[in-house]
Formats: sequence, structure tokens, C-alpha cells
Amino acid sequence: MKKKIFSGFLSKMAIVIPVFFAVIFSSCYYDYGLDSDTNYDMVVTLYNNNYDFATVQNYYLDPTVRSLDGGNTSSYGSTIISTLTSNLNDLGWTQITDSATARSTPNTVFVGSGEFTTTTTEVSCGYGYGGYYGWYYPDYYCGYSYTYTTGTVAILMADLSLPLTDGKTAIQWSGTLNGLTNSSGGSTGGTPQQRITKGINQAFSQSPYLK
Amino acid sequence: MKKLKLLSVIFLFSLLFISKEGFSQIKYSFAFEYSTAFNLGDASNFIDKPSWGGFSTSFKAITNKKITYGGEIGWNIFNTDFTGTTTFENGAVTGYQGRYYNYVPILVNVGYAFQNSRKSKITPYIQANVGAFYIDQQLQVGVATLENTGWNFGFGPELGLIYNAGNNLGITFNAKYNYALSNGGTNYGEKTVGDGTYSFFNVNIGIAYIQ
Repeated sequence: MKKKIFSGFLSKMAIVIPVFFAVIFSSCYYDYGLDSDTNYDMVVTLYNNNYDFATVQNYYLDPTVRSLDGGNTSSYGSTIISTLTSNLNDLGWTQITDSATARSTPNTVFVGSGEFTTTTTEVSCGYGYGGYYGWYYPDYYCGYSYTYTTGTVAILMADLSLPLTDGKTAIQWSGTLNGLTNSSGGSTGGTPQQRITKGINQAFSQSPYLK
Repeated sequence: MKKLKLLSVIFLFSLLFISKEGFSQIKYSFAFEYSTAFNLGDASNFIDKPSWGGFSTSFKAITNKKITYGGEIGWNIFNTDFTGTTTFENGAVTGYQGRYYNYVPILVNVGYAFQNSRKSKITPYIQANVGAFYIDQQLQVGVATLENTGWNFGFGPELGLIYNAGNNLGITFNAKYNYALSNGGTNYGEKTVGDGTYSFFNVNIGIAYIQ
């Protein structure tokens, strides 16, 4: 009798558990995939926390925005340069337009920028419902793929008066903007120029140590 | 001769009583539980929202001396997403962030049941768990994903009870603290989302087959 109860219990559990697993998998294994409603624009800033930005009084801004994936100039160059100039001036720094003069002037940083695009294809895998011997169970599958292209704007700041590190100029501050190019950036997006302007402004506002 | 017969009957009856007493003890339970989880410490800095999606299945044997031993396997999923700025040691990031944890503890345990009689409806117990935690931690920023996945050694105490509902059916309720040590971090192209310890608290309720 007890064996019957036990086997009955197990047989019920054998049905319940896979269904429970399937529900858990489908409802909770959240896939943060890309969707058209979300603004994926991001701004990352990094800095050398041993560098004293308070001593900086001047800056030289390279007037050419490098196109790092082939071309000589960026199609968004004027937007990037004007927004950078505005933010660097807001720091209270004085612009030096001649690079030779900037090299010989103490407390001066050099700022350069570039942009490039990257195309990525993702194969999406996940759990769905499958059938086997009449039971439903979670089935891992790789069903579809999607391709997206991101645009990146990189801003670098260096102090050329400092010695080289491993034969290279050390970067004291960097700002990187990244976002989908084939998207309006969701409900909070805008034109590429607007998104670049917003991103550069954000890079400086999240770097209060520059002042 | 009559005395001998009477003593024999008393002896045999005593054996029957002892046997019945032994039979009236809870020998083991097999439970399937709904599991909630709450991050603590560094883990809560990453995701502070509770996890309402999880389960646990466990086996627990109880000896005549009320010592318990057994094992369990569980799964808790945490996820959250938001758009905002997160600062870290040498910088900051602004944008959409998706974060999630998957905890899969595989534990053995030993403990003590405060009583093991079927006559009592409630069998409270205390136990120590030790084993391996498979932990998958992911951070999506914009379109990029950083991940730290691996096996972590961990342990923790548990306090709970088994309610004897009759007909070999039990209801379980327990609370446990889990502490998983660092796995050394996982690098993906020199990017890692973390290399910390993980601590979280479980509150579980479920059904059990008890024998």
C-alpha cells in the first residue's frame, strides 16, 4: 500500500516537476536581448585617479575627428568638435589652437577624438517548450539571429609633458559613446547629431573631477 | 508456567511497542519547494531586488537520535534593468543596464531535529549546509555584455520545520543563509563583471513526501 502511495506520489511529481521547470525557465530566465523600444546609448568614462586634473589650465583640441574604420574624417566631425570645445571651455580651461605652442605651454592637455562603426551578428539561444513522450519539458534551442550595427565615438585626453609609459603616451581621461546606428535610440533618442551631443555632454557631467 | 507465559506475552508486547514506536518516527522526507531569495552584501550592491523565481528540491533523513543528513539542489534567478549612471573606481558608465544572477546551489547537510515523532505535527530542525554554488553573473551595458560564471564553494546555516499533514504528506518551511566564496573571476577578453563573494538569504515553502 505504501509502495503504491509512494509510486503514485513519484509519478505525479514526475509530471509536475518538468512542467514547473518549464514555467520557471520561460518566466524567469530573462534574456536581455535588443529591442526597438530601449535606448541602448551608453557613455563610459575612465580616468587615471593619480593624475591631478586641478592643475590643468589649457587644452589643445585636435580639429580632425578621425574615422577609425577607414576614412580620413568623420561625417559627424563638426558636431563632435563643437560639443567638445563647449565642454572643455566650461571646465575653465583655455584653448590653445597651435599644437607647437601647446606642447611648450605647461599645464596643457591634448584632446583627440575618433569614431567607428561595428556590425555584429548574434545567434539567439533560449529555452522553449518541447515535446517528449507526451511530457512538456524545457528545450534549449538556437532559433534565430539578428544583426546590429553600433557607432562609437572615442575621446582621449593626454598630458604630453609626462614621460611615456611602455613607449606609449598615457591616457589620463577617456570618454566613449556607443549606440545603435540603425535605431532612433528609443523614445529618448533623436538624430545622430543630437545623440552624440547628448553623449559628450554626459561624459563631462559624469566626470566632476575634471574641474 | 503461567508466569512465564505472562512474561513472554509482556515481552512480545513490549517488542511490538518498541517496533511501533520506531515506526512512528519520521525517517526521511523528500521535498519540492518554492524558493525566494534576497541578496546581501556585495551581491545586493549588484541587484538589490528580491528573487521571486526559484525552486529547491531536497532529501532529508532523520536518525533515531534525531540527527539529520541529506542534500539539496536549488535555483534562484535575479534580474533587474534600469537606465542611469553607475560610478566605479576609475570612472563611470551611463546608459541602459541589464543585470542578472543565476544561483544553483548543490549542497549536502547535517543537522538536528528537535523531535522526530509522527505524533507531533511539527518537526523543527536546524542544519548546516555545505557544497558548491554554480553562479552566473551578467551585466549588460548598452549592447555589450560582461559575464562571470563558475563554481563557487559555499556554506551556511538553515532553520526550518516539517509539518506533518498526514497520509505521508508534509509541508516544509525553512530559511537559510548562503555564503559562496569567490571563484577567482572569469575573464572574457580581459573584461570581467566581478570577482567577489556572494551572500544571499532564502525563504522556502514546499510540499514533501515523508516516511
